[in-house]
Amino acid sequence: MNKKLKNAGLLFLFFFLTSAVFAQSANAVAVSLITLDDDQETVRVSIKTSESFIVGANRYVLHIGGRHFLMNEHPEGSLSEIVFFVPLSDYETLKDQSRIILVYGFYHDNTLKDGEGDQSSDFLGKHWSLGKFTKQTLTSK
Amino acid sequence: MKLRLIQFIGILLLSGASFAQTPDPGEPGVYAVSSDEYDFGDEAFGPPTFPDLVEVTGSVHYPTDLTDGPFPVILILHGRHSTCYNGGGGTSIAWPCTGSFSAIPSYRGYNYLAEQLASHGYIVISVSANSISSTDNSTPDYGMRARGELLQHHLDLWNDWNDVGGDPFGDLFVGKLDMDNIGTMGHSRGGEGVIEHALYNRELGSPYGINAVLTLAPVDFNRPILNNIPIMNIAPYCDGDVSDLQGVHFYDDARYIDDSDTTPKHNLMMLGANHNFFNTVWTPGEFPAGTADDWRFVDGTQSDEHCGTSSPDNGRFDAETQRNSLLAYGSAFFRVYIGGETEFDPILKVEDVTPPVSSTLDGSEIFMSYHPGNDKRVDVNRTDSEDTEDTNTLGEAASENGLVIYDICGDDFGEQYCIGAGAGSAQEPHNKNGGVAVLGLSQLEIEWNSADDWYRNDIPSFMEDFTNFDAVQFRASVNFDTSTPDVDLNFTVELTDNTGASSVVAVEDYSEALYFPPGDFGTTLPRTMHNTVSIPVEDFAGIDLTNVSYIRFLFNDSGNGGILVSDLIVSSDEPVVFPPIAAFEANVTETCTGEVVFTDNSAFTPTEWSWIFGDGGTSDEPNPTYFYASNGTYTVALTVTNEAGDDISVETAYIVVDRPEAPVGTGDEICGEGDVVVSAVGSGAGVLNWYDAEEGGTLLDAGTDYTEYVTETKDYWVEESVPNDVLSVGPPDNTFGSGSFFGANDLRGLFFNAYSPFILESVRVYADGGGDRNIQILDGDGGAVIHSVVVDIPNGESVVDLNLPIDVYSGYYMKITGGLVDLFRINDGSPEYPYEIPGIVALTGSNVADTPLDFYYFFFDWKIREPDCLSPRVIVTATVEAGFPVTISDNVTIASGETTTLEATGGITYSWSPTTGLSDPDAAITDANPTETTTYTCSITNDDDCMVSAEVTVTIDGQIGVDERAQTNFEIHPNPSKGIVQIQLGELTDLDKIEVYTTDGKLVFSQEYQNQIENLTLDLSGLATGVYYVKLSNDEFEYQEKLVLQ
Repeated sequence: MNKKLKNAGLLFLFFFLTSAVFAQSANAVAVSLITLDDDQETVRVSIKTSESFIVGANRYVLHIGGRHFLMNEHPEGSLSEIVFFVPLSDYETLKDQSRIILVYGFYHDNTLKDGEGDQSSDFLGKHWSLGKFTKQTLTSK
Repeated sequence: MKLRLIQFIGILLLSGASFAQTPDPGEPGVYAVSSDEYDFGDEAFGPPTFPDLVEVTGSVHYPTDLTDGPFPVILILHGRHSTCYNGGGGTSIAWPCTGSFSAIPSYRGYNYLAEQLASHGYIVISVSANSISSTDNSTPDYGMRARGELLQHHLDLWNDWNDVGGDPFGDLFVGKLDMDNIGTMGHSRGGEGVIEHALYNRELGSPYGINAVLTLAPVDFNRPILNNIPIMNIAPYCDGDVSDLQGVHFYDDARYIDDSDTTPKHNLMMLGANHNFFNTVWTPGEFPAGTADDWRFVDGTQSDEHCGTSSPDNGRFDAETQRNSLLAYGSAFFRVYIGGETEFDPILKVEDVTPPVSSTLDGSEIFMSYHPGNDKRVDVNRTDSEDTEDTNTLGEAASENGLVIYDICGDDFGEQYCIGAGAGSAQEPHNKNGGVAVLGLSQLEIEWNSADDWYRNDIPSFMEDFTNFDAVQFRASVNFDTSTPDVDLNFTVELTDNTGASSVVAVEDYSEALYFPPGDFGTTLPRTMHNTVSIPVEDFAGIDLTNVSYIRFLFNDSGNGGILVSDLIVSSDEPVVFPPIAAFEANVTETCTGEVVFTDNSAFTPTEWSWIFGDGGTSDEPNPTYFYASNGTYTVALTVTNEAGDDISVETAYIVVDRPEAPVGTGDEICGEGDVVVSAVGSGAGVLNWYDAEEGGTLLDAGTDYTEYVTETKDYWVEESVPNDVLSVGPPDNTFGSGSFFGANDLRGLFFNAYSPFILESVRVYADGGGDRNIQILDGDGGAVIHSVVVDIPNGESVVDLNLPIDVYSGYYMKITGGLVDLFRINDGSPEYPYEIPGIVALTGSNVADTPLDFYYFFFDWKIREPDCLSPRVIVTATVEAGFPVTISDNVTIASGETTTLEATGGITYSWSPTTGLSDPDAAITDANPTETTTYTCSITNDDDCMVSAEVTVTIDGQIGVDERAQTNFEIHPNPSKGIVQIQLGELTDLDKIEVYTTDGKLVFSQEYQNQIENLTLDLSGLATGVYYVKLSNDEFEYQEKLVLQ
């Protein structure tokens, strides 16, 4: 898959989710597509919502398994889409079946949700569960 | 309604306390106010650290009558918010706004505060930062430095308008701004922005006087620390955006990091405030788009019993109340530290806890923390390490009786939080780790269940006179995890004098800080927030306040409860200077190397240090490294001095030095110069190392002897390095419990403490597949990386050689990082921490939250070795006796191809080196015809076999970098010449090229030939007069001849 990404340049991949609903809202939030940026070193993970992402002081954090990503943008200022920048080297290490969680706010505890220790508490902060990351669900456009 | 009732009771209780009548800082001032705006465009400035151009837009509020100027300046920066809106209520975060969208004027949202301050004689500027908000999430620092750069750009503009005027204000403000007296306020991301601006202004040499910084519901993503400027952070308890109230770190982080910081710090907690209502443009009903009650971000249904507006009897402030509170307290802050109106001091110093009437709040709704500058407080107990459970910051005893919990928490990465399982980090704002590896607040957790329980700090005799102070202060928060829900707490504070007389006051008579934190929303509320309790010293009646023995908290009011405590101090309104209290420690107290690193731990800021190490050695450095040469037991003394006096600390028989015996060295002796061989005999247990200095120096070689060519007497030092035994620590293998290969991420590892230096030689691992793995040792989970090595670990069991030097430190964290982990770990609770070698190392646990002792990660069977023991160095001398008189030719310069004669005298044998160009290199006299400048050394030996050497340099003038021939095969006519020369080639008719060089080798003429020729004419009249070389060449020969042009 990664080799295909590199060779294809800008290759669009759809990401099918097992769950794609607001945790606290009736409106959907879902991973839209994953592309390799023109620099060939950055994977752009696009997440869209049918309403509006919060614009405030805090940060959106994308957790995929035990990894988290912070750098993002709203393309053309649209509050219905947020794109996270994931270094390709990090993307390649993501584990199958990892949970994808979008959180408004960075919480240290959230970086340790890897199945170790007490899992009685869920992710902290306002968050949305966006399904699981599995290579089987990735297909080329 | 319950909370309101408690508040009312609190007011009644507090009404009995006697407070000075403090004026209301929130009342409007006497100046009529005018306002204006300026706008240089949406893309008018390029902050150096930001990828996009930003707008230069702002507003100004000022006294209409400017004749009293220059006026102090307040500069306001808003936070991140939607940047554009349209008529339909739609918003975006694009910049610039396009089409039907217009810019959202967030900078106008503080007009109410600007008008208020301007009425008191301030020029208040509020600037727009929409462009930074638009794309700051794609920059590593979230645009914080860019915000600082933008503010500095606005100040530069105002500085010009103040100096010479200019558009758009003409000369209105010329001479009207005091650019040396500026306060800044930043809201939300603007909060960290104004901290960053103050640091940036300082980096630029402080062109403007930033004298007060207010952070309003700020983020603190990057954990910058601002010292030496008064700061106040405002933390809204119901902030649903920065819902972990991380801005309190600005206060906590700055308290003890700079011993020269004499400026105060404040933290104001507003119990019913949210994030947005401080800005009218962000407030529903006051702007047409983009507004929100941000508590909804956390609690979508507004159901929380305290912060949720849908909950009956909630504790929320409405927007007007929230703004009133900022008007009162923000004005107090700026009017004290910018305006010098010290009559408002009691509000900021927690001497008057009754809120100003203008705030429309009561004392149960707003809480101030106050950390005096270093010169106006004495720290009794900073609660900053486990040691302070037993010994307070004054070096006296700290103790307790009967407490259920008495524990320092938050002080290391293994115990980052103070509240147990189930609590979200947003419930502990002081400890929340925002992704930057910096610890939060170290605090003392106390839980009691008996009226006999107490916590005590003894006072040293030098500060027993408490009449030097105005107040006993501490910060506290009710621990909602160990206290009865919804029950406020109380305890008493006791001062006891040295006669045994005691005086007791109740905390509730001075503060309502021991409220049970309200709210019940999941992992966000309730939350802890330390608030200052300040008790006037004079209220401790009936004891000798000049002779205080100890401070004690008596938990004899509330039957049980839990609190978190920090910053137990005594404070004064006037500077208090005490002589230093000497204290120090060494990195080791037993050493077989002789090297000891001493650290000064003295209190009250010494300015001079005098160390006596017990063996005759001394130092005046604050933290010296000392080498003990001889074995023995040494008493160490440190005398520290400051302007108020001095103090000495003596540690008797403190350092035990047990070094290997020094080796026995044997020198060498030669005459003149030559090889010397020095040797030594050691114990045989170690390696002999040769150095060129008694301490430090360069390691020359290792072995029983050392050889070097010398020309004069030289000293060497030799020591024996004796390796220590290899020791084992940790489980020897992975069979002691059950587990599996872990590869989910790179976030797991082990904590360990190093009590003395050692080498971590190897660990045993079990890999699920071979490959390169990155092993790291950090100063805590998420801390700075100290060691990082990549090792190729094979599949299965293997021993990984590391050989990492480990210094003394508590809280090391060792992990595998990167893409490949897949190593075996134990996860069944069978580890039995600590695994330790007393005095050297202890493996203390894993980084799994709540159950850290149930897991053992990756690294089994540690092999460690303490550093090699080092004998004292002994000096070994190679003696070179004087030689005999010799002579040698003077330095000489010859033309290329010429020959000179070199001669040496005084000996019986001679040896010239190098031999290149010499006719007889083993004779006293030799011809020299070097092709390049050469320095010849002649070694001359006399009949006593003593050797000396002498040098002579033969310089070649006219070297052109070719092999010259003793005899050329062509002729140049005429020579000297005016420029036209005939060259008779003789047998060189098949030449390929003629070149002409200057005497310093520069090519000035070149001509190539294809066919055979016999003679030719060259026109060199274009060349300057002087000496040249003409070179003829082909593949087989190179010849040259000198030519003189006249």
